[in-house]
Amino acid sequence: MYRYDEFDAAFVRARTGQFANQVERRLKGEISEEQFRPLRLMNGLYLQLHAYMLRIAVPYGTLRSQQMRKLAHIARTYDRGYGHFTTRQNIQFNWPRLKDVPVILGELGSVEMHSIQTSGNCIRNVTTDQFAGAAHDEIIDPRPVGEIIRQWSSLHPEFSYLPRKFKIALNGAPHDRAAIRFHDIGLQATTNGDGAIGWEVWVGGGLGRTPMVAKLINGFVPHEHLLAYLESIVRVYNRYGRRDNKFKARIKILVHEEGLETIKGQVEAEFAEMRGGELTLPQEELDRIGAYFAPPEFLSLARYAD
Amino acid sequence: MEILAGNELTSGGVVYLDPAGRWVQDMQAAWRFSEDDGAARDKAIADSNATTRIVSVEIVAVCEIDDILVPLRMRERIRSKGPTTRNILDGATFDRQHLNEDGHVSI
Repeated sequence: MYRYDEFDAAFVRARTGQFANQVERRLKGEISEEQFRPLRLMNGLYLQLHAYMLRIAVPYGTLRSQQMRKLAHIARTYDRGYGHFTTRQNIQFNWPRLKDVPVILGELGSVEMHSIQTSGNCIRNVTTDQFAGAAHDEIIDPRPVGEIIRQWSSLHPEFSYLPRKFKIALNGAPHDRAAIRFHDIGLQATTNGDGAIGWEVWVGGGLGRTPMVAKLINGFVPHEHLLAYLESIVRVYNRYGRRDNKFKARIKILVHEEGLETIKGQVEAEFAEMRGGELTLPQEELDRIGAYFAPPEFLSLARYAD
Repeated sequence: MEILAGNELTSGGVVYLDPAGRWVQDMQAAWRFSEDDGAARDKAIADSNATTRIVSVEIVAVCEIDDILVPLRMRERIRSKGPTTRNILDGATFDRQHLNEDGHVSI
């Protein structure tokens, strides 16, 4: 499972300190709710009907026992003794008090967890197959790619105020276990005629009040150009997505109203500009990130070997 | 007829504005604004927002049935009946935040 690299640890610590300061200023009345709202949303803190709700990412759907124990400690100490695991690999606590949230984030940081970009109109936590890294049928372990997408999208200055939330899922096996066609962008690992690994890119799926199945926008994006292609899609969405009506602001509505071919043309035009630029992903970086997903000792079960 | 609802800043708990300008937990104690009370209602909203202690102040349309206030929208009816989760779990009692924990909620 993923463990923080050194940059992550410092980044989360700094972010927690920043949010603690924002909460303190809000409680003192130095900033208004209007100013505070986008700040708390970027840290996973919602205000719901009866209480605040804090949403915490569970990276790639796996938890170490140390992390699970920390979640239990948080539930007992700052909440009501329970939490809610969600379909998008998060856990939600439904009764935290505002003053306790910075402390909770500090506790989470000590076990390499956080709530950054689990809410708000930004790119949310990247999800994948819960069996990723252990499934015998996978074309590629999708987690290092997911991690690179997470690092690219975290606090991305261009994409911090999108028209609406934006969800990406990726699946490394032929059988979709990540529900990729119900995401704003779904990525399906595939191979081309030369045996090279790349990604089918699906766009405009989603659930909610207007459920839609995603449409295939590109049948094969090579590994090294994936980030440039994703940036092209999100840039087009950021430019043309509706901001006048939150119920029509998701990319699924844009794709539906403008048509796949129109969106594809705009995305490909952006991609032509960006392809081969600074977002090109070197294999060495993939290998470096992959090292943070050291596998456990799997048993070799002969009867499943076929 | 209308009342004002909001959430406490520190806990997010639901509160209602009463005629004395206090935010209270009991919806039945809420200040009832008629059609002619628009100016008073708007002033109460402005005063509440100025305290910065009440979040998401909203106007809730209500009717009276046998002297009991009933919100017209389903969302507000559910909200007014309180959370449906248990307050006691494994022997521990979990209560909402009380207004005296935050000394600045009244306007």
